[in-house]
Amino acid sequence: VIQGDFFRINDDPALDRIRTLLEEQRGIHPELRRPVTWNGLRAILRRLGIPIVMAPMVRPAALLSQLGASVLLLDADTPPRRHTYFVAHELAHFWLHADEPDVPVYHYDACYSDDPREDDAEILATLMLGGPRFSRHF
Amino acid sequence: LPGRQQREAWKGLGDFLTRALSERGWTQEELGVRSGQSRATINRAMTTDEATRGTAAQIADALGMTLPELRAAIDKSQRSGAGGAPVIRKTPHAGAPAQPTAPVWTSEARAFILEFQAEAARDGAGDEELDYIRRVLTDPGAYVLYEGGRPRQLTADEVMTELQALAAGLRVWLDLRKQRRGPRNA
Repeated sequence: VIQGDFFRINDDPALDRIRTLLEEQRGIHPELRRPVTWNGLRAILRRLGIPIVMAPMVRPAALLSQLGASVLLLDADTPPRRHTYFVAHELAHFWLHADEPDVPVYHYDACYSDDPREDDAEILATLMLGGPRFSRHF
Repeated sequence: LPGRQQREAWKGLGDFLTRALSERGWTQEELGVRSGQSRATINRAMTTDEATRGTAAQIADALGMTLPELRAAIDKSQRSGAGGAPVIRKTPHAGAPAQPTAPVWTSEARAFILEFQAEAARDGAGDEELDYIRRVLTDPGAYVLYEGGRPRQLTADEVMTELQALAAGLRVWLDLRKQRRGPRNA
């Protein structure tokens, strides 16, 4: 049973913001009305005009987003079965934090525990990947 | 003075903050900046285990905690002894994460960055774009990897791998910018 305090306590206002944002995006991107897949994410990114660049990287993924243009970087050596998850995480950053002036680039780091924006992106990615039925448990 | 708060006892605050700062790689001054307090106030709180409720709340906020959570974390830290790490629950946008200082650039990395900036300028990148490129390529966060929750600087080889990946992404980003703004001299 997945409880609302999976990442944080239930009454965290950030969760409401994330839920609202996801509902809005479900209205725009039908791929989000079910657990999002790799092809679904590709379709969303095409619609948003965000290309994916594959390159060998130290970390699995990153998002460059500033001045109204965004590019998603994906580690070429990461197993393809993990791409869906990493792309969902970076897409979450795009919706939640694009163009924030203090962060020129979001680097995915599995052990990066300090920045709450990483938590927010992780929650939104989890809800996208889990789909609407899963989201109701949050 | 009316409204002036009295300092309260916060037993264990100094030890807790010493460990919290050490974990984050922060100085007392940095905690002061993040919490809106002077370094002297932070130092006094750490050496006397006393702080006003307002100061404690600001410190808690800078650490990504509420006041009750700070109290609980100090208690827990005391119970678990000197080796116990404070348990921090993060709050949204509580501040930028602790970052080590900029990496030690090798001459190869410096040359790469300069060459990439020159390439972008030759290709017509404007001031805003060149500024973004500089920020991306020299962002200290790009060259820190967290292992077990602790930061470490990338090795020289890893720095080059990351630079090349970022440059590949920036080339595509610059193309997107060009498409959206149209030719500069049109």
